[in-house]
Amino acid sequence: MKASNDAWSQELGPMIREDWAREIDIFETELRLRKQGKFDEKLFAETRLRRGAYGQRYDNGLRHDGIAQQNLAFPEAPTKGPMTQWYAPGMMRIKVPYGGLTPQQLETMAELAEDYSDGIAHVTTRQDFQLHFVLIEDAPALMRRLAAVGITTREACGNSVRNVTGCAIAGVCREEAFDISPYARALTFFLLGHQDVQDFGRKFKISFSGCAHNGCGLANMHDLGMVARTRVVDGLTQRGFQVFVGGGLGAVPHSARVLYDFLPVEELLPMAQAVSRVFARLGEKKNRARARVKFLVAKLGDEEFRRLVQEERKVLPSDPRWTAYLTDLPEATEEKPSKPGSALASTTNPEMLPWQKSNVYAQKQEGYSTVTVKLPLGDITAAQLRALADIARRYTPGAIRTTVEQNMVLRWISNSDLPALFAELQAAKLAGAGAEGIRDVVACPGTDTCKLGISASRGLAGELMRRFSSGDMAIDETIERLKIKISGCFNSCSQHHLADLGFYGVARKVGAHTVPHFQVVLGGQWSENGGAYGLPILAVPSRRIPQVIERIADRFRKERQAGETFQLFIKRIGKVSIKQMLDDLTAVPEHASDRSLYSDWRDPREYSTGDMGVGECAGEVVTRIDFDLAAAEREVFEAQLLLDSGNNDAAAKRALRAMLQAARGLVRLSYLDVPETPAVIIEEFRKRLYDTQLFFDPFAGGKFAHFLFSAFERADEPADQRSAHHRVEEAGLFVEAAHACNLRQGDRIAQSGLAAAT
Amino acid sequence: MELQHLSVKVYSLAPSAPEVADAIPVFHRWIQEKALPGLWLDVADYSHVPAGPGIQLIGHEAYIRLEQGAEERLGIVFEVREIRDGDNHARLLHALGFAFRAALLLSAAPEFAGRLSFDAGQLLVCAGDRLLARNNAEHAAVFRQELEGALKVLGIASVETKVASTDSRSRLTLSVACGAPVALDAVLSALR
Ligand code: HEM
Ligand code: SF4
Repeated sequence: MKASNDAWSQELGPMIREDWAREIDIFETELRLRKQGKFDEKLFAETRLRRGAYGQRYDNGLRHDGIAQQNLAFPEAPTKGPMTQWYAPGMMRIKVPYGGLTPQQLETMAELAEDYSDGIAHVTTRQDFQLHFVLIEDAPALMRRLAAVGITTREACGNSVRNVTGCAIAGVCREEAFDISPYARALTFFLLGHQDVQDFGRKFKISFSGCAHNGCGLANMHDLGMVARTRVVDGLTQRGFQVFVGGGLGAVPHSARVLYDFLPVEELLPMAQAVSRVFARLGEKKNRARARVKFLVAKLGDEEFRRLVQEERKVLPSDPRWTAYLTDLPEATEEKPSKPGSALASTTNPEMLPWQKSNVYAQKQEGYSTVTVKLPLGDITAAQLRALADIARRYTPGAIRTTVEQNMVLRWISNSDLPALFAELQAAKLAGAGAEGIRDVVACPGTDTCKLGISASRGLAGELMRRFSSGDMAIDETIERLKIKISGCFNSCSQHHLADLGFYGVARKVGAHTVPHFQVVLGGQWSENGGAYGLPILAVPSRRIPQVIERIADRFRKERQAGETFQLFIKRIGKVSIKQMLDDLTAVPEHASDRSLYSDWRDPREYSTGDMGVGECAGEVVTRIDFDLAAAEREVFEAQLLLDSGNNDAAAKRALRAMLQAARGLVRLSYLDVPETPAVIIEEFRKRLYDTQLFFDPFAGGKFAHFLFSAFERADEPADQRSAHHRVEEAGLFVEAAHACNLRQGDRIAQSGLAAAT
Repeated sequence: MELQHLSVKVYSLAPSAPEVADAIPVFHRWIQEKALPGLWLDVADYSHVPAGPGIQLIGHEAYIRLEQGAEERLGIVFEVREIRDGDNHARLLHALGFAFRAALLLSAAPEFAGRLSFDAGQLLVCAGDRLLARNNAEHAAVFRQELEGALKVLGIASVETKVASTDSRSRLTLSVACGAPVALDAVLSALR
């Protein structure tokens, strides 16, 4: 804890908005009460989450050091929440609505990174900042220092309205219908702390896009997505939004449905309020796994959901805030350039040319550019934040935004300033070229700091970037604009479904050991607001992913047809042929002969999924289940192929078969002769693995088992493209969960089964 | 002025030889072998960040890192996270002593043997709490006096200490330079 925490209150008192100050005071009181054991543990966990103070890996006090599981001997104190040690460092998420920042806010971020974290501020895929290794007792001082510069962490995590995201080039984009920024800000502050958003069963993510065809806002993958449009009525141009609802990535991605084709801007705030009320009232509360609004929309159907929202809208008590912000909305954009626009003299600086090509965007306002500052893995140091604040003051009207690709942009650069700006960014080590292309790998925190991480997404991303910049992996024009996104687990925080080359972490048991892997996800599309979701093809050991990329890139180089995009190329050559090309990479040598695949990138510890013991007595049984699970995986893959060929019904059926195969494998651990009859498999699976909770994921609970149960119940319903896609995705996850269950308790199931048999 | 959350960077004698990433296995081993006093939690890798905090050993009471840092000069940093009792002098001796010990241990690791050594006479010492020790002339004068006093106890004399940056946004930081290299073991024996 920091010595000056109390002093900040006095130092900053008058600079903090009264309501925010009260909020932080309340939190500080709850914190003190909890430390004295006078405040409920679960309640404190939710209260801190809603204020952005998240858990971090090892905060249960357990860590595998590569040799054995160790207890981290933190000083004795009450917990911060269930299984969360008080003194274990945590993560602080800081909301940055639509990514908009001022130089002063960057300077505060620099101070906080130095004072409470490890010297690094991290930009996330939802335009937030994150600080890691923060102690809970430092949180109130940290929040006060943010509040003093107009930033709140309120509702940054927890079951609440998360950061409202929006295009980072809104207002300067050549293709937008209009600048979404003022609407995003109005909605942010209207919903922040609003009574109608306090009773959600799950998080709620909102995004704004300025157009439909680019990927910037990713409206399609949000709980509530707005795409700007205009229409002409009686000769007057009217602004409005196409409104999407029920999208989301996570384990099973859902494309959003259109709620309104054109919603006039005056209706934006009341519509969002009405949607919030419907979600709070009817959304699932008990089963977290089905609590996102996407499940409610799917359950009710589009029409019924829309009807309920409209009914709700009619009875909402009118609120002047709905339209107050519209009165003096500027015509174009609210930022006033600090310098006149100008032309760029042609440059001969060989270092500047590639940067200019990839990182400079010509604004719709003549004479100005927006520059992308590439941050490796979203990380930036305190000194760099200060340098960037200085640069932003010198060359822009203080206009900075974070991006969903973990970068920052500087807007309104007068073109003739670009060479000087480039030189200053270079001095601050912030002039990396290749923004948003293959060199700019996006990665979630993964095993570095996330409790759910299975593989080292940042380790892999760091290694790939090293190979790209050292020339160990060659980049040419064919592949330089491809996007790589890496998640540490199936939750998709890096948005791997929308990448050209997506990866997510899974673990595989090999003999008595565990090997970190990544699923290779292909076929995703970033443009069209996240227009298509990729599907996993096969799991490859983590250490061999660079080879996967090299092989696929090589093949794309050699076989690409004129003008063909990567996504179309993958579609044309087909998943079977890609799988064949990569299959040999999946073979893992025995631990005794070669251990190189048994640890993850940039982490020499022998890999472990945690507190799993190594059992030897059940060796034979383990071999059988491995075989069963491999067969189930094959079925998932075949289901994908059926889906690709438009055979939706067959794909859905094959996906169910894959799940039954995996379930049967697990049942066989304790009931060797289980028949192949689906109803019996389901019954035995329910009895032996579901009711006993053996199959339960430590975080997702029984979620994956429900994929099987509901697929079985609906086995006879005809499937369309959307439901078949879901079924296939669910089958993949079910099989993953079966692998995880086997890792966790294969030995236990076998032993208890043996005990039951004797 | 109160000195809390001090950090001490000891510069390397060979500024550019090893890669900071070579410290990853060393720090993991330190955790496994409990090579240092205190509770050490994990290793954070920032080797992808230019002029960044390099590889960090994250502890409950402190951080240790091998970094280039904003100065772009290789060195090992010991940074105190906890609130320490005692007076400024005692806190300075604690931070300096721990930094020198960690420096010696790191340079002896097989991953670095012969490629990395540190100079106890080339330091960057930061008063980590910007509210208790402000980056102004008055506090700088006190800090300087305290630091020179502590260095003297360790036998590091005839040093030149300078305020590293007068930018009021930076924390109060002093750079220390000795005319000739100072060996770590000599300093550590003075501490004993
Ligand atoms: C503390 C570690 C984290 C945990 C435990 C976590 C958990 C999750 C979970 C469970 C999901 C699935 C969403 C669902 O269907 O409900 C998810 C999705 C997502 N998370 Fe995280 N997350 C973490 C860190 C992050 C970070 C650092 C980011 C970057 C801002 C992030 C961004 C996202 C995104 C973009 C999605 C997918 C979009 C969506 O479905 O809404 N998460 N996360
Ligand atoms: S994708 Fe998984 S590992 Fe990565 S941050 Fe999200 S929950 Fe953690």
